[in-house]
Amino acid sequence: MSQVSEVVIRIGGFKIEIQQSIFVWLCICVVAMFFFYFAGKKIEKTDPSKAPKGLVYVCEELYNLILYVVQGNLKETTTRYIPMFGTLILLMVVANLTGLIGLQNPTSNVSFNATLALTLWLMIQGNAIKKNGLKARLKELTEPMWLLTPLNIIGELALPISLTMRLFGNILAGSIITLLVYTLIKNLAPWGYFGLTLTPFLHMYFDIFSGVIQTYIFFTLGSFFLGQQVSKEED
Amino acid sequence: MEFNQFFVQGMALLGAGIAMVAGLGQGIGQGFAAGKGAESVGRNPEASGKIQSIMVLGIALAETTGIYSLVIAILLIFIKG
Repeated sequence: MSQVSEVVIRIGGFKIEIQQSIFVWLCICVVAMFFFYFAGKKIEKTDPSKAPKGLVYVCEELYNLILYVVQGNLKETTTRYIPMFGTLILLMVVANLTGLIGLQNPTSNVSFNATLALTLWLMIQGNAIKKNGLKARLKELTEPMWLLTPLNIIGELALPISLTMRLFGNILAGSIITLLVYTLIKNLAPWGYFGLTLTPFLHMYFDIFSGVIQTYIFFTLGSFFLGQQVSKEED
Repeated sequence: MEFNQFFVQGMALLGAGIAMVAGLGQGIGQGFAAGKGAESVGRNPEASGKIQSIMVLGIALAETTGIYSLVIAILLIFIKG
């Protein structure tokens, strides 16, 4: 695509070319790693009887945010799956918000979205098989009658594709529209600079609103399908 | 030969435009959801927060089909156009 820009890293004689979105993703991973490491160390030291302050408070609120997304669907099994969902939700929110600082969103690259969706899908299928057994899982595909098996299989396979495409389309459309407006501003200079009064609203809608809503939907759907498989007997 | 190339390009751009007709259904669906949301807030103003969050979720889900067509249009434009 036209807007893919590449970052070239030179270490001695080596030359590595990676796309900017993937590079941003790797940077987010490194930053998140350090953040969680230090936050975990700090949380271990804090006194649980006192009111939380600073970093610990931020972490608690993040935890509540994740609970808000997944708890309604996972019910009793929430604590078992929260490390996975928490990591992915925080990573994706940060990835969606990087458009605000002028970098390319990792989520506007289809491989990032497909990785997340496939991870989620494999987790759902794996846990479903672990919980109910392979036989029951295969039997579920033949319901309500054996003739519908191909349709059921397509329905299962549609989940990662639809998750990927929904997120990809939203974020890519947002970044393309923002890019077009910026190009127009540059082409129409100096009068075009009045257009800069419009761009904060574009960023508000496409980066903040759309990004956060899409993250919410992605993981609501993911946890809904997981909850259907895992916390079935509690209903 | 050259004619064929331009023909493919033009047809791809035309196809991108036609693909976006899917926005019609999406618009109707989202408008319907928003209208029902406004109606239910009018009927039960205390539950407006809950209604709003459900409405936003439903609207964003209804957006999916439109997004598919958008992805197809973008692919046509950037790969063939």
